Amino acid sequence: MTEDPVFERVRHVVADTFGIDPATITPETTAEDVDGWDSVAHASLIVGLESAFGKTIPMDRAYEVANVGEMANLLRSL
Amino acid sequence: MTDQLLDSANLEAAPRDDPQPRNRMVRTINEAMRRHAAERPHAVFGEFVLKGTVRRLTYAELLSDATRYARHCAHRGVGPGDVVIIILDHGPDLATSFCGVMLLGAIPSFMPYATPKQDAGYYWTSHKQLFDRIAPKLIITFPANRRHFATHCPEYLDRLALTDELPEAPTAWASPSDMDPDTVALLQHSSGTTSLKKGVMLTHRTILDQVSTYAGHLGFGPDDVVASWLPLYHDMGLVATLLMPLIVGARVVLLDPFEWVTRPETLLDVIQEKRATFCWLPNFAFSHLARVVPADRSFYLSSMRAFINCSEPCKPATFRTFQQRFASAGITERMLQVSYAMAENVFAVTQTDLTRPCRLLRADRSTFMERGVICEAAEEADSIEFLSCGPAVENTEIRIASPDRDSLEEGEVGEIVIRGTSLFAGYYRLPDQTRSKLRQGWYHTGDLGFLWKGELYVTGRKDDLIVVYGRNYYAHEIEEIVSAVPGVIPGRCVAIDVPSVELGTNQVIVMLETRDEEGAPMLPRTVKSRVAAAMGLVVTSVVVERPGTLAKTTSGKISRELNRLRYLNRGAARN
Repeated sequence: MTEDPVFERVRHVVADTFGIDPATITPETTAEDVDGWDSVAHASLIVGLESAFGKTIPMDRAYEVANVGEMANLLRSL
Repeated sequence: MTDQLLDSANLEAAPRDDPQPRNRMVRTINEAMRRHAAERPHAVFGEFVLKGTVRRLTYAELLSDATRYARHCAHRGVGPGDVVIIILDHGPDLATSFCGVMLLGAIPSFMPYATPKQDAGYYWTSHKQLFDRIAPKLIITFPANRRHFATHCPEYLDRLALTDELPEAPTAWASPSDMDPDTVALLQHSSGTTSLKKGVMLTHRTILDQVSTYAGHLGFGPDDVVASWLPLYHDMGLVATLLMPLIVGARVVLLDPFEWVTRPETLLDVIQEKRATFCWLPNFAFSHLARVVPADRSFYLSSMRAFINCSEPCKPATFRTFQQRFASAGITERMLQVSYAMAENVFAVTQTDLTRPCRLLRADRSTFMERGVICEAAEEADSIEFLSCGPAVENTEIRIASPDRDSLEEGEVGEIVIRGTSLFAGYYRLPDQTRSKLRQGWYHTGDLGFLWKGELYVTGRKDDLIVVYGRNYYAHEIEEIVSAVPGVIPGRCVAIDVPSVELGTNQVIVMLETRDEEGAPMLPRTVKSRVAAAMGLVVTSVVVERPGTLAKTTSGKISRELNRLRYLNRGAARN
């Protein structure tokens, strides 16, 4: 399990968005592992992440990420 | 667009031997398009918004570019009556290619492209089956899609027409000017499993009939501006945001559906900036806008005449949330309206009255649940709320039927059956399915509902159709896909729908049995990815159970209803 602070924050926003236990989320977690994570819910997640990080995620990249770890990498790169 | 092109479009639009006096009714969509191009060549038909840029198309440009497509299709051997499939990303070519195919007297049909998230193998296998049935003469698509065809669907490579292959100028070409209005204008493919999609055949006459009655009902005219993110392969997008504005001579501002989902506020920005007057949305979109648009954003939306809720069950709670969130932007209750619509009737069957808020009926819950009869609820009684879909549009009749009675009384729940001058000509190359739904001139919708004081209320479905985000899926089709997943005991699964108040739509839950205890933890992921690939549907949750756990009917069949109750009860116990 990583101690990376960016990942930790992403993990908590994902957990809040989908109402699940943060401990169940790893960098390898994909949308298919989380109940209710569809493209409409993904939009809520993006808004949640943008507000938590104070950053704007480019739309075309917001849907390219394959798992939670990649989402953290994307936020780190912005 | 060069002046030369504009000139050629104008010339073509006003042939000297057919002056088309202004007061003459048009007989085909092509005539309507030509007339607008001739009379108001510089009026804007469409603005296509993508990644912050706007591509504008005037009526003259629409006709001119459509003519280029028509000519190119003719050059590629397409003739009247041939089917041409259009698979394009967001942009003006959606409109110009579609209109071009119609100009030729051929039959266009929009289909979605494979998204990067979709399993390519399944998208292509199922689309190839669909192509094989429809036998398109040509497939118009964007250049980058060619390599996907080469990899996954090489049989159709020689039928591709790429958007960058078009000749620059619309050189001399005689379009069929005396087209029979009863020829099929287009095919509209309902959603569901790709290979099983039914192509709804609509003629020029039925489309024009629907548009003239529906536009009349709404008071929709050339000064109206439609703002939309709806995909055009969906009937609501195709008719309300492309064909009706085109026939009437109005203007559309179209957003890319994928961009809209992530940034729903772009729709409100566009309404404010373009002073839009109409917007058609499925119920979930109202919830999505209310939930996701940042709270600190404010808008000025008073140009709007109506937001029309359509294509999935319309919920009073959703309207209330939306109206409260955007009241400061000028959204009133009266602006939130409802239509009951389907491709089989071109589009609208009913429409509420734009001059007042939609009727809300509070019915006694127990009489409705137990007897399928509506009684207005007493003040304190346990009640259930229904939002009216309005009265039938002109030229469309509605009756409510039961298995033993053709026409039920007011307030009795039964199947909604419709007839009228906008009814479809049948499903393309599916005579058996046409016969089963279209009987003695009446279309049996499969929707359940009742009539009350002359207005229609929809309560549910007769069959196992599930509406999610405004799109239709059959539970038995989902179950067939799940049943084929390795590890699932064949036939031992159910797909059920559970309403989500928060999302304003239904969610699909799959419950299945397996003997493979070791592989069980991986089953939800596999099931979700198979169903998403096959149908574009994201299953919300997969419940994996031991053999013999799923509830059965007395005849031993796995019951959707009993398992749905089990699932809901478990959720209630958890909460």
